[in-house]
Amino acid sequence: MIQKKICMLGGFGVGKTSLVSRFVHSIFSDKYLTTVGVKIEKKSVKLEAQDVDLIVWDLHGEDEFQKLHMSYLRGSAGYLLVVDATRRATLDTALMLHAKAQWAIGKVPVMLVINKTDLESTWALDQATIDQLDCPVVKTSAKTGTHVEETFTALARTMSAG
Amino acid sequence: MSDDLLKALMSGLGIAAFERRADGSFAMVAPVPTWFQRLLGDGTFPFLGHILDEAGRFWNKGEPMLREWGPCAEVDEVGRQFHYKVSAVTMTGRHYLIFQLDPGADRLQAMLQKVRERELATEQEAATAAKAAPSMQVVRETAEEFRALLKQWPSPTSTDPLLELRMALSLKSDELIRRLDAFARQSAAH
Repeated sequence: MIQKKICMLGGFGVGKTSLVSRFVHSIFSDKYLTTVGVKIEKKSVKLEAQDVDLIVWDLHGEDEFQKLHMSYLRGSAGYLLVVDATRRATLDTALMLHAKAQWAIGKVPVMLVINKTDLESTWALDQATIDQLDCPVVKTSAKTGTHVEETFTALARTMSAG
Repeated sequence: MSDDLLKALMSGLGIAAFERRADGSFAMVAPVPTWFQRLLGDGTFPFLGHILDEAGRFWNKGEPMLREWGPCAEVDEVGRQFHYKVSAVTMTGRHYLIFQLDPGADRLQAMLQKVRERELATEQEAATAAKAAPSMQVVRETAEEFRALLKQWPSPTSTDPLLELRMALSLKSDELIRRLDAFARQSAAH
């Protein structure tokens, strides 16, 4: 079976670990648990042409205390940029990481994941801002599971096609 | 040191060690500690990804050195998180892959957890305050109008049956404005 490594990038507390947890184990916890270093998970996804083993590298969130080492991205076939829709600054962090990642590993498939759709009444992002982004955008909720599976599968499909 | 003692020591220290054979496969040097059993799989460690590639290049140099990667986070069977690091070692011409618990990363995680929880709470309070600000302003203006209306009432006399009620209303409107101002100052401080 084909194996593809993907990375989860984004600021702290945006829900990277929750998305992976929802995708791999179908569970969600409201309790925030910060990640140090990398947490590696694996899940197979069924595509039309073939099954793909996704090796998901859930990287620690970037802030002033923990900078992301781009060496983590080596060998990555694609990545998800995760944003917390209720915190506008996390979009800036994601876009900064996107630029750094492109510099480190070149252009690979990427999707911008706007997480926490279940908290839509408290969103700090408007549609106009989202429309300006120059990569595929998907809105998810790790809490309810909305579009989580589809997001990972879509990335796997794009990576396999490339 | 005898082989048995070395194996017991490694197991006691929570170290999982593998020798890399010439064909690229890994042979267990000592029984793996309990924490590592979930990671062992078929012993090829595909989850390590580029770390294995980099370790391979390091071993091929043949220099007696050590190279480390990590920390990596994992959860035990009861869902508790722990961290480990991965090392590639070359010793007397033989190559080893070592997995070791990383208590330093556990401590860092505990510290960052507190800092980030506080930061998230502060951000949330500020967002709530910013969202409430326009409504608070309307309430404040209404309270001021109410106080102004009270002042337009003819001067009270000591026999006025509504004197107590008027004083209570005046005090309440003052208190409301004071509270709104205090809330606004608190929000600005965030």
